[in-house]
Amino acid sequence: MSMREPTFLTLVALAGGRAHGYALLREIEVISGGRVRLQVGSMYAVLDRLVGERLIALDGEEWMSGRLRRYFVLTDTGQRALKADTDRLEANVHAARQRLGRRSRPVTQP
Amino acid sequence: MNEGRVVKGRVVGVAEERYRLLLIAYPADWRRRHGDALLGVLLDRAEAEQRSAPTLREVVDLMIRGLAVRVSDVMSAPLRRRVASISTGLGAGFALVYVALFIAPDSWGNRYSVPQSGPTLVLVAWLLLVAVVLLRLPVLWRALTLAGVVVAAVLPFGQGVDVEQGRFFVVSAWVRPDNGNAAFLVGLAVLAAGPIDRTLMLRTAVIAVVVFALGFVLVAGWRDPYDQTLWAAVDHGPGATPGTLQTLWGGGAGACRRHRISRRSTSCSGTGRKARCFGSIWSRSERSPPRSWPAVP
Repeated sequence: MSMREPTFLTLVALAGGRAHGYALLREIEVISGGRVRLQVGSMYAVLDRLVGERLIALDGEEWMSGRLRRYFVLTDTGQRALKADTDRLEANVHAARQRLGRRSRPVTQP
Repeated sequence: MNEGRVVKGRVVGVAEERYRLLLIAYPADWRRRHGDALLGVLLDRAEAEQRSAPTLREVVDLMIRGLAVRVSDVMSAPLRRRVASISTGLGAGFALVYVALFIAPDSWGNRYSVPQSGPTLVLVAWLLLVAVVLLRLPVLWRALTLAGVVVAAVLPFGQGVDVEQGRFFVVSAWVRPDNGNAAFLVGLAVLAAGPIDRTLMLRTAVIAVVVFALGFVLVAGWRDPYDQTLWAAVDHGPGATPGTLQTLWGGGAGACRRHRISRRSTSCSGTGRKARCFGSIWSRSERSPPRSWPAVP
């Protein structure tokens, strides 16, 4: 089963290193080129689920200017899952490019 | 962002107060464990966007997510997905048959006129919800679901009485459902507020259309909708149909779950692919997380 985009992007964002909630939100926006802008409640639902599945884990908390920052990190299981989904997407993209390339070639007249 | 009042020796900003109020949508236990962290992210984003008030999208999102957490306390994520899909399908089937009754030609023995009142508004709204799900418009879907729950919840309380006609109205020309059906609609709307499996929803809708149509034709006959019999979905007449269907479905689904039916298993009732429990097909990613967040080992 393939991952949904918010899940995939969250794992990609964490593949770059530990991050707290707001940093993740910004990173997801950057990675998706501004296309995916998660709501905070939705992102926490994704994080909640990913922690439950052991794909990511809590990696400390700290108070900054009166706000609690909770850090997350990609686990080995998460890394494997991300790699598997990346490979799958890559294969799909490769197949798509091949076929699009064939389509764009000029058709030879008989 | 800086103005605010002192609470327990700490200055609480206006934005924080507003966001804390919204977090009431989540259960108290969840707020104790995750509330401060969630609030921190909300305030970070509000500050970056120079806001001191939540946006409408944030309000809707927090309401829906909070409701989902509350529901997940009593219902697992896969079960909630299945229930939401079936409930939406049931509502859509009921709505389709109901609306069809009003647009059927007179030559079929139909004696209804298209009403401008309660039932049609509610049921057309339900069809709109299904269209939004099919068109994959999640934000609109969440907003509609939330609005549907609120509307369904206030339906029984907004009635007036037309003494001359002896009927109940929310506003003039609004026919309110009877209590049984109001409870059915509220329940259905609440249950529908979850992630939806479109295939399961469509399957349910098709079966529901057949069952409800047969129910209306064979059991209820072509009755006057304004006597509230047609509006009644639980207590009597065709109302027995959705209740029975839901019970059967729920029982079957529960049985499937106990037997751990997987996507590749033959069936849950020995009848092959079609009896694959209509959505007991869960990926690993859909399983419920534990209630606490373990740290890195």
